Order: sequence, then C-alpha cells, then structure tokens
Amino acid sequence: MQTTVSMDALRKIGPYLYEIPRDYRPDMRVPARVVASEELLLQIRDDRSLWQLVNTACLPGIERYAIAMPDIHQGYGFPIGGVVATRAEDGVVSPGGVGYDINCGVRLLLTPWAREEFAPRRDAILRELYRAIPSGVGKKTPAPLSAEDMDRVMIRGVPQLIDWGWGRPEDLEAIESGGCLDSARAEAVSDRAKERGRGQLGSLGSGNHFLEIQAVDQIFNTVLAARWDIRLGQVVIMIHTGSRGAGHQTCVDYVRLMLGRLEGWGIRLPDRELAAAPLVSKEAGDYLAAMAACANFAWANRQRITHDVRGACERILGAKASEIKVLYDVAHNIAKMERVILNGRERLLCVHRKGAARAFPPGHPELSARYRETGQPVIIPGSMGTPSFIMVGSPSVIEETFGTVCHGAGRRMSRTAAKKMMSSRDLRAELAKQGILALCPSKSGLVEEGPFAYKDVNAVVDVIAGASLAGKVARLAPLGVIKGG
Amino acid sequence: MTDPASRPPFEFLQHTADLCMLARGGDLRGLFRNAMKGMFCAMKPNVTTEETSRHMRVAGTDREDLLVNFLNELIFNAETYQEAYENADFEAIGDRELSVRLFGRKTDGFNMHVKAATHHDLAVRRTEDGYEGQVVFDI
Repeated sequence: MQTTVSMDALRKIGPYLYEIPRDYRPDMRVPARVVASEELLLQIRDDRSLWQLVNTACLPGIERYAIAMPDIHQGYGFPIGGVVATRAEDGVVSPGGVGYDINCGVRLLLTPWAREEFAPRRDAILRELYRAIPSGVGKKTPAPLSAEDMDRVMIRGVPQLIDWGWGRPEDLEAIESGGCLDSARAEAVSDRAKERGRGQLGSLGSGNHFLEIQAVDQIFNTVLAARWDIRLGQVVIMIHTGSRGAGHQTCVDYVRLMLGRLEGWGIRLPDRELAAAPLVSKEAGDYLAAMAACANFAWANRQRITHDVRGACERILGAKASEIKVLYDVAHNIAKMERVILNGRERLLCVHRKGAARAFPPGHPELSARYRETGQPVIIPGSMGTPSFIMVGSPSVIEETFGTVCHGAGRRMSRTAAKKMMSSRDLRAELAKQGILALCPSKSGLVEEGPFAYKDVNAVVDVIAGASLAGKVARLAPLGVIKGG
Repeated sequence: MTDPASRPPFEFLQHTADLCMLARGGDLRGLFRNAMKGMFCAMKPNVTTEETSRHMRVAGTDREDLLVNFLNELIFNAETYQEAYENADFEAIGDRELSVRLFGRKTDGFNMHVKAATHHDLAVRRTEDGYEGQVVFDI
C-alpha cells in the first residue's frame, strides 16, 4: 500500500513553495502545498508526512489547499506542521487536526535581568523552578482543583486565574485570544476529561514539554525589538506545555464519537484519525466548545506556571522579579473559527493548526491593542541546545497560509533512533560544554529530545522568512532547560 | 490455541514522533492482554507494593476500535488513579465489546507519558498463529 509521495510529484511554484496537484490522487479536493527548502524536503522524502498531507486535502469543505510548514514531520492523521481551513457552510472540523494536546503552545516571558547579572544565580533559579513546577509523567500539582473550579477555569481561562491572584490584567493583552475562547462550554467536556486534568493545573507535563531560560543573543529588527522591550543580552524564559490530560481525553472522546457518526454523515476518509464532523452539526459545535474549554485550561496552565516562575525568581533574585512580563503566548494545536479575507472576500473558516502557530500581521483586527500596529510576536522554539527565535507575521501571511507559520524545529528522528545516538550522561556533558544546564526527571526522556532528533531550526526559520511569511526579530540562546521527561 | 513462542508478544516499531506497537496473541484475549502489557512496558511505571484490581467493560464499533478504546481506558486509569496493570482476565471478549478484570499495582508515576492510543494505522489481523494488532500511541 502506498504511504509516501515521490519527490517527482512535487512542483516548485515559488522560491520556498512546492505543490502536489489536485489530480495526484482522485480523492483530493484541493492541492497540497509545502513551504520548504529543497534540503528540508529531502529530509522527509522517505517518511509519510506528505502522504498524510495529501490525506488532509480530502477533507470535505477544505478551502484552497492543505498546507504544511517547513518543520513538517510524520504524525498520525494530520502531519505535524499541517494547516487546513474548512468552510463554515460545508466544511468539517477534525479533532485530529488539532491533536490530543489541545492548545499545546509556547509562552515567552521577558525578565529585567541581563545575562551577566543572572549567570551566577542560573543554577539556583533552575533548581528552584524544577522544585516548584511539577514536571514529568503523571505529575500533578499539590492542590487539585475542585470540580467547580475546574469548570471555572475551562470557561474563563486566564482571566479566572488573574481573579485568583495568579497573574496581572496586563498579561491578557499578550496572550492569543486574551487567554480565553468565549465559545467554551464546560458541559461539552466529559467528566472523565475533567477528572483526568483537574490535578494538573500548573504542571509542565512530559515528552517535548519544557521550561527554558534563554538570553537574547542577536537582534534582527531593532525597531520592533525596542517596541516590544527586547534588549540584547536580556534573559527570557520560555514555557512549552498544553492542556494535559483534559485535552488528551477530550480528543479521545470526540474522535470516538465522530467515528461512530461518519457513515450517517456520508463522510469517507482515507485515515480514521481524520474523523470529522460537519461544522453545521451539533457534534461539531460540541467539539469546538469542548476544545475551547481545554484551550482555556492550557492557557491557564501556562499562566499558573508563569505565576510560579515569578515566585521562584523572587525567592532567589528578589523584588525585581515583579518586572517579569509576558511577551506573547501562542497556541500551536488548535482550531479556530476565523474571518479570513482571501482575494478581497471575507470567508468564515475553521482554521486547523496542528503543530503550526498563528502569525497575524500588522493591522489584524483580532490582535490586542498592544500588537495591532506591529503584528503579533511569533515564538519559534528550537531544540535543546539550539537557538529559538522571535518573529513577526508579514502582510502576505494571511493569503498564503491563513496567517500561519511553523511552530518549532520539527522532529526528524524517531525516539528509538534518538536513544541510540548518545547516552543521557554524554548529552548533559555536551550541553554543559555549551554552558547549558539540563534538568529532566527521565534519562531516556532527555535523550529522546536531544537536538540531533530535530531539524535545524535555523533552516526552518530561514524558509519562513524567505517565503515572506514572517520576519525575524530576535534570536534567543539557551542557558538552562527543564525537560518534561 | 497457545501464544506463539517464536515471536515476541509485543514489539515497538520506528515512528518519528510517536510510538508504534505491534502486539501478538494466540487469540483475541491473548492479543489484548499483550497489547496492554506492551503499553505498560513502554510507560515504565514506578510500581509500588500496593496491589489493585479493577473491572471494566468496553465497547467499540469493530475489533480495531475495541482495541483502541480498551487501551484508552487503561491510559485513563493510569493517569487518573495512578495504576499499572500486569494481567487481565477477560470474562468475555468479542468483536465489539469486552468485559475484563484487571490486576496490577498502584504507581508513583510513569517514566513515559502516553497521551492516547490513536486510530492511525490501526489494524487487527488474523495470522497463522492467532492475531496481531498494530497501534500508534501519541506520546
């Protein structure tokens, strides 16, 4: 059975844009496009990423094309790095186009410290963060939410946490959607999902989740950097986590529900994991409401961790920790109903971003007042030991990719293969040579997330910039990391 | 039928970001039991001495769906109740439903987090020795 796409099937239609035409396979409704360089394409030649992208081009009501970002890699159902927009009137929503970790995303905090003044206390800070913020598999917070408070968090997201004293009102302007999708309905989330998640608010989780301390080591756009309060040598803190068990269970629940209804809706799909519901159906409405509730929980999760970061920094570095502020928080596993202007015409679309981040450009009406003039910051984490980037959406990003760019470096190696590359002791030693301290509750977890397992983030970001989807603002060098394990 | 002796009850195949498992069994009971054992082997639980037992009923639209739903129920229990199971006594198992008593121990966490069993590349196949099942887990 064919599961890969030959490179011959790809036509280069732009400096960093390739297309698989609609007639490549009879069940495709639109073409499939990949934003990539030739080098990055060769890295996915033998895996199933492009075949999975072609599968998503079969979804009912899909608009224009299925798109993949340059950090594309093989997933299940949708490829990671996939973007699909479906029309509200005749399209579908697919939980697989969001992923099990609903609103897995990344937040960047700006601190008042320069690298030189921070360096002597780096180890103490990192260890205090490691102590204060639960990380690793199944790790819960000491005080689980009550059932009522779980509902409150799911309905209100970050504003609820601010009411509880775990943040500041100004944090909201720096979070995608203000940290709350008001379409959330807690009753659309199963009791089992809530039970699975209510002990996990403020926890990092495991796998590729992390908290990383970084320093700004290069500024590309001095005007924007000044507007956003970013300075060369400034210490920043990046948080990568999502909705934890509540999101995972919600995806399980709705994939199962939709699989059971596909025949009745007359929907045939090339992969069960693409299970979907017509956007006009009750099931789609329920899923989007549940997804929104879990997205709110994820933003609240990153907010609670931000509160704990502020507290840990205050304990070690003193009152200046009160100056820690959020630069931006962006989701990279989410589906949102967005009004998109394409060819001068406004369309209401369900934009699925799976391992892909929103990058709204200057003037976009959905941006908060703080970022409407400049465009939103886009945070692109690298892998352990490699740089991360802050970018800003370009004017053409809406037309080209529904306002979307990559979410990181993208894996290029299985976990099994990664574990054979080096031992955790050698990896820690390699990172130490670079001046990076790595803490992780699991030895194998650390190696599975080694930098060799990922694509070159510089190459990925260069493609995004070269394709005029977003521009570089600053580069961030890692100083210390807590991996989820 | 007995479990095939020549091939392992479960093994893990290469997958870029996630975990792909192939499990085997002499019959459906054996397949599902070995799939459970394989999954918990991957999760590497930190088991305690406290034993636990739990009864479960699971339904699905077909054998493949039943396998995924069974594994997802185990994942729910593992994360919510901090339990890992070492054996399963199937009171009944068919193409669309099963009834099972699970035996295992309480855990103090796991070394690998499995978010869910997915339907991607899902297969339950008859073989000359019994059954084999392939499942991709999101980790």
